[in-house]
Amino acid sequence: MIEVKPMEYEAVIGLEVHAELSTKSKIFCSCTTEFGGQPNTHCCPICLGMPGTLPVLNRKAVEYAIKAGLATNCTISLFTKQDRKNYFYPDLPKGYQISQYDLPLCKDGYVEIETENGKKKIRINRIHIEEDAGKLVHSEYGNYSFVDYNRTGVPLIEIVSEPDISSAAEAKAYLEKLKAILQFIGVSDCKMEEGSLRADVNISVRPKGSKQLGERTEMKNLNSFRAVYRAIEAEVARQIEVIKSGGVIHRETRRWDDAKGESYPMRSKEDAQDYRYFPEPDLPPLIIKKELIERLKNELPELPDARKQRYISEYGLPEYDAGVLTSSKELSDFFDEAAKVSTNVKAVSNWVMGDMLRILREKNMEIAEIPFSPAYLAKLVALIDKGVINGPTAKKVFEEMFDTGKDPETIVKEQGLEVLNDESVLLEVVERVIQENPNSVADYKKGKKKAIGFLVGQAMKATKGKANPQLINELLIKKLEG
Amino acid sequence: MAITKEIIEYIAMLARLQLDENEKNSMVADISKIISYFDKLKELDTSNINAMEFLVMDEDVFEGALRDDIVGKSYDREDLLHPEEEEGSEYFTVPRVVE
Amino acid sequence: MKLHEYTISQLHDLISKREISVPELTRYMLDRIESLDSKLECYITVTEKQAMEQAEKVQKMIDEGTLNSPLAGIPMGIKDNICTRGIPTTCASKMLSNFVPPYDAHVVKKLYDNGAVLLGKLNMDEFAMGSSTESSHFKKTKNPWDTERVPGGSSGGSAAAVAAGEAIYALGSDTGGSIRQPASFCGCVGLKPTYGLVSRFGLVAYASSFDQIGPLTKTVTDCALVLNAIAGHDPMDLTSSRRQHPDYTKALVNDVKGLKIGLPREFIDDSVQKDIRDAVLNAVKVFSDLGAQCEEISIPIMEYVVPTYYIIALAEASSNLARYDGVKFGYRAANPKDMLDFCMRSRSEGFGTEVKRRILLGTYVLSSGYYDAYYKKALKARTIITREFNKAFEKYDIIIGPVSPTTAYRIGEKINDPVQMYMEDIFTVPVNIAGLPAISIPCGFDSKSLPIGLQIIGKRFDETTVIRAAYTFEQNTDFHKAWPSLNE
Repeated sequence: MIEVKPMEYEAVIGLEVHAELSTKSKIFCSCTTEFGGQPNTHCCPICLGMPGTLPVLNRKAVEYAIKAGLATNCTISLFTKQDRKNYFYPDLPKGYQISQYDLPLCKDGYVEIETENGKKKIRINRIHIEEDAGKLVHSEYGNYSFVDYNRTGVPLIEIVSEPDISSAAEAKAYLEKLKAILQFIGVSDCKMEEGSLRADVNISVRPKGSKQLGERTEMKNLNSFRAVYRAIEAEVARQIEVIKSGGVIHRETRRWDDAKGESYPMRSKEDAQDYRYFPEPDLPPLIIKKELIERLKNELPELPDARKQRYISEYGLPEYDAGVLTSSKELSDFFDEAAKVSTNVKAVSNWVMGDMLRILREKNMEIAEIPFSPAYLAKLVALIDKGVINGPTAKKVFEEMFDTGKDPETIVKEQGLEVLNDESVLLEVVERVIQENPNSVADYKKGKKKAIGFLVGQAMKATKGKANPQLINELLIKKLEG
Repeated sequence: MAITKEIIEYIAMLARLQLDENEKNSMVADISKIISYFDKLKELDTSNINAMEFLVMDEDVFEGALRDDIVGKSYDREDLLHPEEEEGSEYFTVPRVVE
Repeated sequence: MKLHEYTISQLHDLISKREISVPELTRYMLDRIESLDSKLECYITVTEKQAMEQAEKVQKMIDEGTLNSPLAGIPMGIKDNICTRGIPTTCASKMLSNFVPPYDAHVVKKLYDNGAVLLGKLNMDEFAMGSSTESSHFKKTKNPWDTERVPGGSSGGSAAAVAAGEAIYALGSDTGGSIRQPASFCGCVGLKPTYGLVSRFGLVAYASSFDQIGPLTKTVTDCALVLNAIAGHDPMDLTSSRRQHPDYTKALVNDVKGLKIGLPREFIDDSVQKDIRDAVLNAVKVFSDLGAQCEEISIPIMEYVVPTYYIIALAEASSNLARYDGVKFGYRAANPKDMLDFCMRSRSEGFGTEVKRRILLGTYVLSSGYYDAYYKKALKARTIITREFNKAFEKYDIIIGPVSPTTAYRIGEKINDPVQMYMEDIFTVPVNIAGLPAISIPCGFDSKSLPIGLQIIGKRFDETTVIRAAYTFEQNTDFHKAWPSLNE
């Protein structure tokens, strides 16, 4: 009997990531890029594309884009220009977007991600600069939409990957890596909830092992890493299903509905995708000097991969821990600051990855909102190591630090939380506990050594947790056996 | 290549222009004539010619002319909104856009 | 001599000597517009109130000694595609009939700084697309020399106003000849500066890589005075040059001895009206007699300049005019069905036929499948044409020729033949293709007593030599002294 193996499929995924650059002013005018603001108050005739106005390129936007290129191993173009991408949409004031077509600022780079099969390089085809569009607000009643142009002209980079990604998990890892890099080099704050990081995903499937690419669809409206992950899972499954049932995949743009967990094709009746790119005559081509690239290269800080390596080699942290700590710049910077002044980096790392992330989650807080300096965490660890406080007390102190921002030493002093090491005091406590718990004492003497735990607990309770548990333990045993 | 009514309709849609039948017909005629006049350019040998030469300035645009990243004052919204927006409107109002 | 016949420099003299006050002069000009413009229809908007206020203010500053510019107190008009804060800027289009810019164009600011008094906004072809001012949505400007005829275009209102004394000088814009051709049709002086010499900020874009603002004046001296005021770098326009520009009045030198002048034979072929050829050849003789070395040259690339120009210009125009969708400014269609209908009808009802034709052509040459054959090809042709002109300028200081193959034609005569209209731009468009400076100055009259313009083309940023040659010609001829009769 011949067993027919069901056909297996693999996904081929490429990402187009848009990141807003964190310049203070817009890409072509001096309006602020600040998020929020009353509608249409961060606008001027230039970003509204009023007749006769001209774009004046923000030098910093170009520098930031070059830095992003350098940090992702791209080649920086020495000759680059901007082009007009022509299409009509009410959120696009000029009827064209100033973008880059055939001469992007950066090309041919890569980033490395961790997958279950080890490291993998995701190639970057190009990074180019362009301007963001405005926002449409839809009225709840009536047949109107309202346009707010505050975001119009905020500088963006578009990072286009090669289709090197084969799963939702890899896509997520790639996005997380990009986000970490852009944050580390300080060119984007990558806040997905404010739309400053957005991803469109190109997805196709093909029989495993095939060299030919299948027809792809483009998925839009992915507003979180989770949405990216779920949309890829769903789209890959949908495409396999279509093919298995004898259908064909059409090239189309689909819109992800995260609430429903499904996507549907966007209307494309009026959209012959004919963008009529041509060189932007209002912006002369740019000649990028080698010295500029060198200067920007020198300005780059330590990148996430390098920092992770340093945590492993210098601090002896496990690879996993080093990875978590370098997944975000703020987290990593916090850890770095604490580690710098600590003699027990491993413990600092555990605190950051454990209690700190837990408390932040519980309190729905950002790292930037932590009211105490990283050095205080190092102090807390030192207090434990010196035996001034014990573990359970430390947890309480740490919580207190989040509430008051106070120095852990101050908290310990103010509340008298030092570990009780005074043997004469502890001996009294131990004797009292033995007296009050004859049953447990009897159990212990009968050989149930575990009963000691209960007695230690009672002694700790009697000292409000401040007793040195080791000492209590020793004293108890001495008393019971002696 | 002949300019057909279909081509005119296609580019009119791209350009967001609505033409009635008469306009379409006269555009087909006019644009055909003009395009065949443009076709004269095909005789010209342009091999190995740089297309971007005119746009490149002989001055250092990057250092000399680009803007510093400094925030300036935005305009008052009232001065920017379309004159037909209602008094007190905060937005530019358009027919409902279905996404 | 009547006040409106005075030049800038003469009026400056009168104002300085307190022989006339700025408000008196302004009042006189407004009255003249009032009496004459119903016939000539040069102005779309007359800014009477602002003009009188401005005149009072300027007079006060002159009296206080805080304003000392040759342009102080001189009344002028501005083409209606140059933005003026608080004053409608319509581009002679229904599309922008409700548009009041909240900003001034760079050149307007500069003129105001020099104490200029704005009389109003001048008629033009819709969005500067045309060469007869007939495509204006509002009115048809008449040629002051023969009111049955067009003033040329697209800066037809500017040229006619200066020629008829409805403005002492005017600003126009030149994308493919739109200053020089109406200047030649109306018998005044019109200069298209080097691309990048004058800021385009506030000039409503037609074709961005060609557009330049320039003066229309009665004399070359006035031209130099206005150019001095408007030239120079503007950080708001990245294509504006940062080089220091000279004082152009220093170029007002009556001397062309040793100047090397090229006359391309392609500029005087049979397509050119005979009177015009004769006038140009006469100009060659004038220059030769004054000691210049004139030679006939050949620029064989001339047969490609019109397609090259139109392909690039219309491609840019199709994109530049995409912003008019009814959303932010300009005409909004009533009772739209949906967004698409809103956008399409706002554009279709707001733009005139010639604008639509050019948008369609520009869209076509950029569209997928035709881009390489037309747009990209034209960019390369632009490189070749520019190089050929630059090569000619290695040998010659200036190139001269006619501005237009014809003199002013009758209103309505050519409006229905777009190809013919486009082809008549042949002598002006190469200048825009190569970004060169060129001036049109009066050099004769045809058999119908219509003015003929002589075009003098210079090297990039060498307005000085252009002005010197033009000034010398003017000083040695009388053509600029003639006035249209206007049955006054």
